[in-house]
Amino acid sequence: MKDTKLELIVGVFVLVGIAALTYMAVKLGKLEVIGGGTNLEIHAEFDSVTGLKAGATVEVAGVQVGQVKRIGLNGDRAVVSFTVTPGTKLYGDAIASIKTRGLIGDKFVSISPGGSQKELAPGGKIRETESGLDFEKAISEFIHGNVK
Amino acid sequence: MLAIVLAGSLASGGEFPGLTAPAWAGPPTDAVRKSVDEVIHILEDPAWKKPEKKEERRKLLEQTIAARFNFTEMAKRSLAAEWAKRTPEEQNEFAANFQTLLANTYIGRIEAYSGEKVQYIKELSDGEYAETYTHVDTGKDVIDINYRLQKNSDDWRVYDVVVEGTSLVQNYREQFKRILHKNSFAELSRQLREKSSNIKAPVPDGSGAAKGK
Repeated sequence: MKDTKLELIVGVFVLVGIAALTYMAVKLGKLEVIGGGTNLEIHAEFDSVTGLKAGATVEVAGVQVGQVKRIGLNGDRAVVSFTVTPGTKLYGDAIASIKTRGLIGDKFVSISPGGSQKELAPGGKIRETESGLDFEKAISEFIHGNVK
Repeated sequence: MLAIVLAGSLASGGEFPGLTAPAWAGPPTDAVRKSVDEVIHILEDPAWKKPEKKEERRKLLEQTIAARFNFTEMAKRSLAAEWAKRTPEEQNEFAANFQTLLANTYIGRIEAYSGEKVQYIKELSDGEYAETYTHVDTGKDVIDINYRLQKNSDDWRVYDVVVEGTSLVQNYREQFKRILHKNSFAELSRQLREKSSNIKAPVPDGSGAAKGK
């Protein structure tokens, strides 16, 4: 009888441990197991997304409104698919830019929502994009000099 | 930067085989090419280089550029959400001042044109929107300049210029947003009006000195 009780306690303890680990994994990995379906998915094409990774934040005025889900290729351009939380208003003339946090920090997507009459529908595409300055190219030119 | 945007001449290829082949170039690229060629033609014409013709030439350049650029659309996009809140009169006035600001900021650099070459790299199109990629070879650097165009009744007009990956509209949108955050639209309008009349570009070269004497 005593053994059974002890085993039950250990069992519960292990289960709680597993639940806690799962919760941590989901939180730290920024996965969306529950409630992820309600977010709107938006796409944007860039000439280059060097350094941007899936999971990177998507911001409007510095406020996180979503995250990058997938990065793929369409011909020679990068297609970034990201989710934004419902209620985030984006319009047809929105501009998506790839920005760097600090000088050498992480890359993220910054969106200026625009204000044309047409609101961007779920699954819509932001036409206006900015790939931003290529710091490495600039630094390399600075170090090695220009050809002429 | 917009200087170089418009100052340049048509170079067909060599350096980028396959990419600059003109066969694929659609109406948007043709439209940009036509305007760039017109601007260069005016800049290179010896008849227009005379000092007494400077003012007249500047007007002609502005007209040529205004025929291709949709300044109202640029102003609208730069103002973003604020645009719809303004009356048509305010919108018109703002667009006109914005055009003057851009013209005064860039015309001097366009006039300083000295044989830069423009290469047409590629074109992306999506219905009534298109983007034309160009390289401007200054002999020292190669600058990436993309023109974003929108089709208005069979005519392709530029509504944004992306230089080295940064958009002109985005640049002004950020600045206008910052001003509007602190001040009213009337104040922004006033600042724009003041700024556009202040930074009248100096007429370059010998003419300035000639006037002085």
